[in-house]
Amino acid sequence: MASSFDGVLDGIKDDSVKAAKDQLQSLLQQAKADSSAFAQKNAAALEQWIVELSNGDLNQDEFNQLVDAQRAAAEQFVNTQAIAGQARARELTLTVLDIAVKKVVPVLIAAI
Amino acid sequence: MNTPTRRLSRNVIHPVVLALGAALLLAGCGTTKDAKSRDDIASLKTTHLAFIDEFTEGAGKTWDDQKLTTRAATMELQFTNAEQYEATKKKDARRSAAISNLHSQFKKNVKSLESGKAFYRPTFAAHLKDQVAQNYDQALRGEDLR
Repeated sequence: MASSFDGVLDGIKDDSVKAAKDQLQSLLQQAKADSSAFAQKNAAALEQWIVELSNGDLNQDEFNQLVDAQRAAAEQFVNTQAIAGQARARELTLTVLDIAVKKVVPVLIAAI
Repeated sequence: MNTPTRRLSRNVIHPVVLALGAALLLAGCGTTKDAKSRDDIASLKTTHLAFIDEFTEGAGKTWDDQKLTTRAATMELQFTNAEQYEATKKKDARRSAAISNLHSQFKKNVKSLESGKAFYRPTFAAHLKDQVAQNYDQALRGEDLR
């Protein structure tokens, strides 16, 4: 899945989102290497949805609903963490979603 | 006369005072285990996932607005009962927020079905169920951590 995902991101040639793409890839790598199974699973799911969105297996509305659902689950996850771990948990879940949805996916959709 | 025994009784906290203090501390925490609350969340999870299954494309299924209205009302009642139970107890902000989050997710699912008037596609439904299940699992984890 990672190679497909990287291929989708490589297909976005818009230089204005290069920093966002790099940040998204970096955070997804950190999430997948994190000790939390929740962060790992969410990162893998988000990559899969982006690939499926790009190849038409998911439409934009479905993608948005999945992101909403993952955000709700992530908020639940963050709220179960000890105070000291909440910022990191938030970065590896909610921040990843925000970067994907607000910066990278709109450019991907425009290019489809 | 200031005997060692008298000095000790002045310096050591009386057991009754200690017990009262501990009780006040526990009551003040406001996050306590509650088997019924946990059961409510587990039951909502089962019903919510079955709801998604019921409104996913399948052989022989035809869209029925009334069926959606009926099923959504049943689930809404289940949420209302869980929320009312929470309201009868000492306020637990974390648990209330967890149930509110789950309820909001369900309302979004109903709204999307109502506006689309079409069953979920299987690929999407499978992903959605994963996310919804994760949300409930985190809420249940929150219960277990109390």
